[in-house]
Amino acid sequence: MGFDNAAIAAIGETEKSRPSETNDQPFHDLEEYLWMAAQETLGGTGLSIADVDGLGLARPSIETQYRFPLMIADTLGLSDLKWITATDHCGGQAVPLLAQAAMAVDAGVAETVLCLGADTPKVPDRGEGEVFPRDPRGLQRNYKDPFGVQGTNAEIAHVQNRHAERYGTTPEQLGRLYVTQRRHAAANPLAYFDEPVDLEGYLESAPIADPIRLFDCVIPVNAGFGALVTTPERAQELTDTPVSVAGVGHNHNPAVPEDRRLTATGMGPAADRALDQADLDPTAADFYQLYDDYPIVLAIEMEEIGLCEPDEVGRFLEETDFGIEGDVPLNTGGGQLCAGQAGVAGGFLQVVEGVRQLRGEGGDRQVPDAGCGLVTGVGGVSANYDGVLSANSAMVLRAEVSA
Amino acid sequence: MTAEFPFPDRVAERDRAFWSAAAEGTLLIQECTDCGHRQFYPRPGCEACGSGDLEWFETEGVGEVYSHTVIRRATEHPAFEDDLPYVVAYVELEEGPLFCTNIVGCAIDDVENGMEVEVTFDRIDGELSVPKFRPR
Repeated sequence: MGFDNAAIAAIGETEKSRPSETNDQPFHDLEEYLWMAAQETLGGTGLSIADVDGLGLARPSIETQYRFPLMIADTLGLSDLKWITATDHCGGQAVPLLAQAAMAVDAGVAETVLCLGADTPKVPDRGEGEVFPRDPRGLQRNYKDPFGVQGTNAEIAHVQNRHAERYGTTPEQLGRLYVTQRRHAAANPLAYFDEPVDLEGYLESAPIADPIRLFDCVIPVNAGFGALVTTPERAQELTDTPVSVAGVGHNHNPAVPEDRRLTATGMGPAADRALDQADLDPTAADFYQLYDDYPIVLAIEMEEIGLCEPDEVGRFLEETDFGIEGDVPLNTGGGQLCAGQAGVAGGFLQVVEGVRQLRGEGGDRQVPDAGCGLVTGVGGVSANYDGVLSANSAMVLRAEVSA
Repeated sequence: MTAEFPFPDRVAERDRAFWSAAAEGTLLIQECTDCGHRQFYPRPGCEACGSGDLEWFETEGVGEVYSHTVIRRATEHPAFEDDLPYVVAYVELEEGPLFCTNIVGCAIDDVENGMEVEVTFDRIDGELSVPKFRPR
């Protein structure tokens, strides 16, 4: 049971960029980000691209050709691959991608799997506005667009609207999460935002879709990420600080009970499965890298993981220290809200930050004595009709491996 | 209107049927002839029991606001720029399903969850009428 025969030996993360016609931030295309992410990931291991025998690719949101993973294998010079896979779970797909890679390694199908994700939601000549491409057909096109639903922000607005009504959750409570993560981002050289913001700054940010304001929304960036999944034996040869995948759980297209309609993610069963596999109590992780497209989603994940009860989450947010040395160290690199969301590769941020903390490479934001952590991925806000998040994945990472 | 209205594609027969009925002033949902489940949006089969035996069910076009948001920025659909601010709501239809729509016919600040509403059709062109809701 579990992933005893697979480990994470390396990670890679590029700088974040929001290129536009009015700034000089660099623009790289998808192929360049994936190449940079591969170089970053393999860089410290002594391996070359020729040593990789498996490729896992997170499908980007921007338009790509069908057979995209095969084309990327060729672009990067990956040859004689024993295995290729791709995920299409929206923003949180890094966790299921690494889980697939761990299963492939565990099954002996491949030994050294390079997992990559990149996305480029910001294109200089397209200006501000629309981040994700419009669906050409289907549910969104027929039953959301004609009513002027303005993307994910407008969908999550319903979640926060119902959550406030059902449980009394306030913007002031949710804003504490944002303020904490901005502080963490300021200690992360790879984060997009490098200046802290106070609660007043959060509350005064521009209204987008009530009750969602600007600082409730992730900041879209262009970036690439990677992770190398291999056998524990090989991981120990490649690095002094391999990280093990102690548990994984998923819960996709969750069935939501009537009293949680619009205020559930479905993360509960996913986290339960991962924590059970790792034999870890929900409150016992040393840090929590929780998928954060919006503070209200973080709050709901905390309820469902079992950090607090739904009707107490507001008080929990007020009373808990989410800082690096606090009770519940949360998104220690700033999360996607403050480090930036690289489109639907965004959830890689949680994975690489979790690995980095367990390797003791957190720098000014290192969680003391970090031995195990919970990482989540959530995605697919408007993949279904009534605002529930479709894809939920959780992963427990540990600092030790047993070869 | 500065950008083209995001028309529904109406490629699948079930989508054509829904929008054709709307153009004639009827709000349709689907009912499963095997288990009786009622659903919206239109699907090829019943989401509850998997049956492929679905019939169209004409709703009364009434319900309650289940959740709502006031849209302040047209970040994805510039066609709605001139309508800002406007209300997008999920209305819980009397027949059960939630229906994503707009609330019109009252001040945006007057929209509340639980408010009783009824359908009204906003004609976009000769073939498209968008079902919106107003206070009853």
